[in-house]
Amino acid sequence: MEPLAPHEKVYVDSSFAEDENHGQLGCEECHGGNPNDPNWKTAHNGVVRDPSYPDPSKSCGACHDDIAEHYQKSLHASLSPFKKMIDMRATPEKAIYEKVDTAREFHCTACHSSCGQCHISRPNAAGGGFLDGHLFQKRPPVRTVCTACHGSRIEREYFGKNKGLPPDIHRQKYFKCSKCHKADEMHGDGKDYANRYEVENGPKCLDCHETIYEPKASNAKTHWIHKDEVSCQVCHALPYKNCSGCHVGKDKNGLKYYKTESSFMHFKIGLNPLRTEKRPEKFVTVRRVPVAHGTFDFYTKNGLSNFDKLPTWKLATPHNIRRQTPHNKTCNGCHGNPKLFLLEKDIKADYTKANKAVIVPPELLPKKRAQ
Amino acid sequence: MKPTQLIITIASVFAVFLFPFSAGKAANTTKGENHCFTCHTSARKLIKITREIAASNKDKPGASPETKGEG
Repeated sequence: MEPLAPHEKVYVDSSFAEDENHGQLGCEECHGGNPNDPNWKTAHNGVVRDPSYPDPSKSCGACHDDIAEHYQKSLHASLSPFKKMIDMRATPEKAIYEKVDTAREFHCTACHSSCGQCHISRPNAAGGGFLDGHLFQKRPPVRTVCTACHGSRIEREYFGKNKGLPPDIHRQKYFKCSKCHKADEMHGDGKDYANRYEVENGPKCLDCHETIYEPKASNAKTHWIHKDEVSCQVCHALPYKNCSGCHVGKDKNGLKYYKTESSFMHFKIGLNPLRTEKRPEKFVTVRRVPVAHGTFDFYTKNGLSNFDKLPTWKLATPHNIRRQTPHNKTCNGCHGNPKLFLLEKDIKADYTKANKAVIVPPELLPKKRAQ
Repeated sequence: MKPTQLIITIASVFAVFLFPFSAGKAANTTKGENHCFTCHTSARKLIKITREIAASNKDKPGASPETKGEG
């Protein structure tokens, strides 16, 4: 993503005044400040940079009340799964828990989005700056909004930036993120979901590929055999990015830092840790998430004493889908190929207990088939 | 006066009357010039001000150099 010069970040296209809706509002109606004051320093007293966060009801919500009503519970705004996951792992003792929670708020929840940080400017977490001279973007642009945050994993997968791996087939069909991730999903429906996979109006492959089980469909038999056994990504995704060993803290200047010990490419099939009616598959692709025993050590020792309550290999939906992959060319690309599966030997000893629910035991490995 | 001329004259009077209201409020305030709009639509003014801000912030550290790795 091309960086913006400081003045470019706040440059307003004069045609904004011609926007028949938003151009009819005075700047101060959303942002505060004093438009009659010619001194830029005093004119900015009380200015609100992003009036849509955290409460958009008096800015965007004044007209878009149907969207603003649910927005604060949308996962992009709340990032509530971070809190839920960390709370489950956190030490319950009040003094320690409060330190962990403060650190989480300071580090992990800083990457939220808002109405403005999708439709007007780049997300603050990605440096901010107007997308197009403060002209409102009905559909947020992919590279300066979506992948500005979802960069190291989704962007690299989707655009084929991981060395030696092609882009997602949907990218080659020129699909933008919003083709699958509709506005309703992004804006939230008022429910506080535990994770993004529970979101009721989230995308499903079958929304478009609804005919794969029909008798005349190509590979219908293969799809029927594997139905509810494996997720679509198990057969159709390629290796993807995994990270480990996240540590957060403040440097000598009080600035927050984030450190990850390693990142690596892997393709691993694990047991589905979130098996539900919506996701009934036994086997899913799993991704190593960077949380570590000592993630919050800077703030408090032993902050995550319930670390083992959740796996560090999580259900994943890699965005590098291909019709044909090295492991789906033949049955034995996967059957009798244990290196594709998350086995106990793939995990460091002190993480084994946490990942018990996703590690594939030897007896569940699919046996090699006679061709 | 012919009917056509009369219509053109009336329409012109209306057009002149409506002109002050044609630009959005973003460009003007009820008290006159909107300085937010004047300044934020001038690259020259913004460059001058952002340089001024950068100079006053030059000793302030930006992002922590201790951040490393992907995540």
